[in-house]
Amino acid sequence: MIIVSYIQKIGSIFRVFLSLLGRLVLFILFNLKRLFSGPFYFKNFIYQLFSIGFLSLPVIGLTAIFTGAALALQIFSGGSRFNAESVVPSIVAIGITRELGPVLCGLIMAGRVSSSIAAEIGTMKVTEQLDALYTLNTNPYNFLIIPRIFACVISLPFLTLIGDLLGIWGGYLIGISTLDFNSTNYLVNTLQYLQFEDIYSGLIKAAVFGFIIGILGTFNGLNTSIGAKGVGRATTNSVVWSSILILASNYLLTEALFNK
Amino acid sequence: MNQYPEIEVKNLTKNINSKQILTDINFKLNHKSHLVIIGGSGAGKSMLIKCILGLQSLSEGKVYFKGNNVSIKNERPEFLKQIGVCFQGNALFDSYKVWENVAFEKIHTKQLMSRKIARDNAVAKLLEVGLPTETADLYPFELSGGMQKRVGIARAIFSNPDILFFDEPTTGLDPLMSRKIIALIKEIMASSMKSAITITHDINLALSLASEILLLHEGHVEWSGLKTQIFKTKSKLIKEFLKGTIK
Repeated sequence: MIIVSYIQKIGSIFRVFLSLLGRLVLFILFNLKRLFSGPFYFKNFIYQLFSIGFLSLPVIGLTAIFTGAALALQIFSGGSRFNAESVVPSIVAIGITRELGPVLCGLIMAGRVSSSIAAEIGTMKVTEQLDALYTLNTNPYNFLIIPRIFACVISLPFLTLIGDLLGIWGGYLIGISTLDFNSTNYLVNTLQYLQFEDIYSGLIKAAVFGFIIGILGTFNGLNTSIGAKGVGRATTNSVVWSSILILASNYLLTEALFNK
Repeated sequence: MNQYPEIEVKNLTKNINSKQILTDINFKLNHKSHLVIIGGSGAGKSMLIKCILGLQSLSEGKVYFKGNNVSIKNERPEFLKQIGVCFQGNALFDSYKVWENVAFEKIHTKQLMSRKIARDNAVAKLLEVGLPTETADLYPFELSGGMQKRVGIARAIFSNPDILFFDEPTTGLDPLMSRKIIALIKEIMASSMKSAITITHDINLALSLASEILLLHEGHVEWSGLKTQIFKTKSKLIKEFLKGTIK
């Protein structure tokens, strides 16, 4: 009997998960439909680009600089065990553009943006603002959801690109100030081994992460249950699920992009 | 004049997770009449309004607006253009200024209007509901509860709709402000000669505003009729409702 009860519990959890997955897929398809049926609120999109993209620059920039600097120190320390200190510039550049840039940017944005989207839309839901939008002949999907998702998809690659540059610059600063690298040699080594593929693959990852952040933020916001506790839960869920999906999809994308 | 009633609800039933919330609701809202739906907490008043507005899907039944079935999605945009809704919690958009809230429909939908004209019209509506011009450029959170309610009413009447919906219009207001809001609604209804549906649990408010009253109890219509008939009814529930509230 105990085994049956455990199996029932597992089955029920699995059923909840499948139902959630189904609703998420329907949500994505519905947004696509609304995107093509219009209208597209361009002003809202621009405002979201500013709010999601531009206002995230300081946190992304600082994270990238410190990560690049720490990475340079770690690679130097590890490389010195087999006299490979000279690889520091190229490994910092490749590591940041391929992996750390998009993933860190994605995770930071999951914390900063996905949560704020979920909280904002969740609060609008519990205070009947979504209902008010609807009665004012304004579809909440077109007005609120699509501009946010688009802004996330567009912002993330740009933020990642800026993060890549600042991360490499962080490594460069430590390289020439602490690790006794020659400035010119460091830059030559960085550019010599860095390929275009390293950069664009990171940007593709970032766009996918942006989509995940936008979708999960808005989905959790719209599915907020009533009350402050509901908004809190939606915020937490959006951050947790965005982060998990970013890390999982990062692995799958790495497999797809590099394991040819 | 249109031969159809403004709104007709036929056999409306709403189930949520196999629980029946509303059962076989039928009523008509006639031209220039003010129907007040009363009922205790959990009677299904808010759900009924949401079903009529299309915010909730119907399990069974139909809602007609001037003879058109607005339970069908394609018919709803036209219906929404001709209604104004004043929500219980006002539902003002925090990130927009007061005038932008009032003129929201005009500045964000296809019936575009220049911002200057929209602002001027919004200010005129704000004056109409008793708010000074200076409030136009404030944000909703800078206003008192009563002022927010007036902004909500200004937004509802901005497009000169055919039907107004008031969801618990005096909830959360002090008695003095409640009286002012009731007077304002009466004034709007008298001057606009439009139809309205109000939902409330307050029988005093119902008697003050209504031309017709509908009592909702546990999801079904317990009694409906003209306001003048309410004191003559033999409905036990209506009597209890009247005794419980009227001093």
